[in-house]
Amino acid sequence: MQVLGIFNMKGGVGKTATAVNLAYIAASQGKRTLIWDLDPQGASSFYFRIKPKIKGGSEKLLKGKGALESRIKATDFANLDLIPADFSNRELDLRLAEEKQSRLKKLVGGLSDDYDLMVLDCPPSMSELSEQIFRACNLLLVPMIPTTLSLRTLEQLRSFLKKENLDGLKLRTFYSMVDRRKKIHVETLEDKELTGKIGLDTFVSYASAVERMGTERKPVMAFSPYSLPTLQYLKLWDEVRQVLFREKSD
Amino acid sequence: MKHKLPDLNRPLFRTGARINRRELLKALQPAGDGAVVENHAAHYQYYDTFDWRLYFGDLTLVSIESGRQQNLVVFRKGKSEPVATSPGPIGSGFVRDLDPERLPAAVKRLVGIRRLIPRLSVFTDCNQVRIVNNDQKTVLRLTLETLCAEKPGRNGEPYAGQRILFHPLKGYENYQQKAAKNLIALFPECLDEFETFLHCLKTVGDRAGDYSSGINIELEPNMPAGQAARQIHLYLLEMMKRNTPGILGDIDTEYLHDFRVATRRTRSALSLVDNEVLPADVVSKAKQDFQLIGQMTSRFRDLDVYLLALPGYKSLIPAEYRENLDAFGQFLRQQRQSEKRNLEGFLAGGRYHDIITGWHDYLAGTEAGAGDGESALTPVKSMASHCIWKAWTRLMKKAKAIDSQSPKERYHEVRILAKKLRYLMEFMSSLYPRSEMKAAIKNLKKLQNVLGEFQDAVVQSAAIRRYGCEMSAAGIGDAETLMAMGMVAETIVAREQIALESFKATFDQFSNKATRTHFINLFSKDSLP
Repeated sequence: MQVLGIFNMKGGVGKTATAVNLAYIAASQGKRTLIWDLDPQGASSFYFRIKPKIKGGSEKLLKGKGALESRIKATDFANLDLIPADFSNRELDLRLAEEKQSRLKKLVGGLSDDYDLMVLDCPPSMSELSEQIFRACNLLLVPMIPTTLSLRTLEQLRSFLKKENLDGLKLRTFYSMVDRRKKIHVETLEDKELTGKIGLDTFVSYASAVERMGTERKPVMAFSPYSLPTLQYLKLWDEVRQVLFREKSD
Repeated sequence: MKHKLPDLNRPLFRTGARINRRELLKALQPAGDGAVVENHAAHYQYYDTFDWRLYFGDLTLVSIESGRQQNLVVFRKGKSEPVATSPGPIGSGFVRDLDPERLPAAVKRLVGIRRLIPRLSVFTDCNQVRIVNNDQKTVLRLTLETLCAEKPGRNGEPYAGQRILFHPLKGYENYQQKAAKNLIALFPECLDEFETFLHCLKTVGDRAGDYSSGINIELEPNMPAGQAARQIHLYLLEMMKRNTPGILGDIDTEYLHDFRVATRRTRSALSLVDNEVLPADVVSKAKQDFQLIGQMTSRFRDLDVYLLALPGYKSLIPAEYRENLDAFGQFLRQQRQSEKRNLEGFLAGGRYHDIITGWHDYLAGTEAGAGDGESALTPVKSMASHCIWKAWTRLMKKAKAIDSQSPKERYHEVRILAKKLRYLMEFMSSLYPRSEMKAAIKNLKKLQNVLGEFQDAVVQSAAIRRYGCEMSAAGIGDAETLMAMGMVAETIVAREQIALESFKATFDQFSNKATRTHFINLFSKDSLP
């Protein structure tokens, strides 16, 4: 099983849309996929019409054997399951601080026979939970709005990974919520030097179809299969797939 | 009416009048809102061998065709989840042509050299339904299948029932339970795939396991021996008749094998029992008739045997010579082709027809009594014990008299006596305690195996030499082929010696005090004076 973390310490950059759409595309292409909604706001769970889990608590999750598996819910789509957000996930940081650094990795590894891909929809913060996510992931994908501030955040992340001896972790970034009417977006997008080798070619535009995910409560491809964001997410998945599974482009 | 909570691992089933989608959705209402999302047709084609090897092994193999997809699926009795799935059609029906990686070893082991033939067609109309909760999230998927069964090659499609297949979703298993509770009044039975197959088979008037190459004759101890003899012969005649279409269709080699076994059993019964219970002239004519059937089918069967043995022969010789045996295989296949015409001609001809109908009319049309042998009215148990006891004593006497220096013919005679005794015990086994008869037959079988190995080696090495001469005369195969055949014959000759050496130890075991006492207790006390 490959673990893909969708991470950015900033909020509102399109993490959940990326996690939901990439997971959906991977599943539709035959990968047994599990998406874990780690963000207590529960947006991924909402998109799949799955109620967030209220009871249970993070303590039970970390201690109980098979506790993670028992939280899995099937989505309405083939090959795609989800672990819904848990409001108590906000305490996960505190709980994980008492555990070994690889606790989350071990927890995730327990499902490796059942899935080909796990997508972690991460909360916007830099905390103990984030560190544990980095250790559990094979690839960290960072959606960024093409602005100077976003690039600063990426630098902070890279230096953090280096400091924590996590520089072996594969890190990729792509521009999200791109609005070509904005000069700064266009300039940032054209400057390939800014993200260097870790920058993927694909970017995802700011589009009303993505916003409609909230009303349709489905991944964008499920209700608008030929829209621009669908095509962009397909392209993005193709790049991610090559990094994760070393599969060649179709 | 109260219903038991259904077994959720098995589909719910109803045999009553068909219900439609609307009735189904109404019944499901308390579990959540339901909607039919897809409607499609599927075709289930069930396969088994002629002698139901998969059924007797608690398996069923079905080719499921739905849309553009076709899969071979294996189910085990008592389980609803398939034990194996292999994409694609069944092909020739021989296991050698099926995907060995995807089908369980049990299928290969059970089916062996037999061919899988269609046993039943089931056409289904499938309505896929999804149940949603108040968030419009799918919480359960299920399929309503309407089943119509049909015998292969016949039209009709009688309605066989409807069933509900649940496709529970992870994390929402409780909805399956809720839905099942709501449906149990409409679908009161739970049938797994194996049971569904048997049910549909019954709908078209068939029964699984209605043929077995083994003997399964139920006799009453006090029935007159003449009546029992007729019952046994009718049973054997039926086996011959049932195998004839398979021989003519050249479906697999075992139809002829079973046919010939039934012929041999008939001849064996004629020589061991019927002399005393059926009229002498009838027995004499039947002996000649069945000897003719044996002779007319013998060469074709031999060719089958050697063709089946060919891969084994190849493994007996060094790899570099194996290809040279291909010409031998080609010769056997050519011979088989021309012999097939003779066999078909015989089985479809008047002489065979007269033998079979005449024998059937005699057996079915006359009562035991006037004109029969002197013991026709003797209770069959006494007659059976008498005949088995006599056959066993004769076998013991002959077998004791041979040693490693005895001519091969003596071993052959002992083998025939052992075979006749075995047939006799099988005919009469319902008259004796099951486990004791089973143990006695098991002991005899060990002795038969050694004698069989010896005889096979003698016959096969001679036959390979004979075929070699025929090939040479016909200009088929080169010197290397004949050399490779010679190497095979030589290896087989060495087996004669191995079998001979093990005969003494096996016979000592067969004739030890415990086995002797077992036979004496079983058969001597009821025997005729």
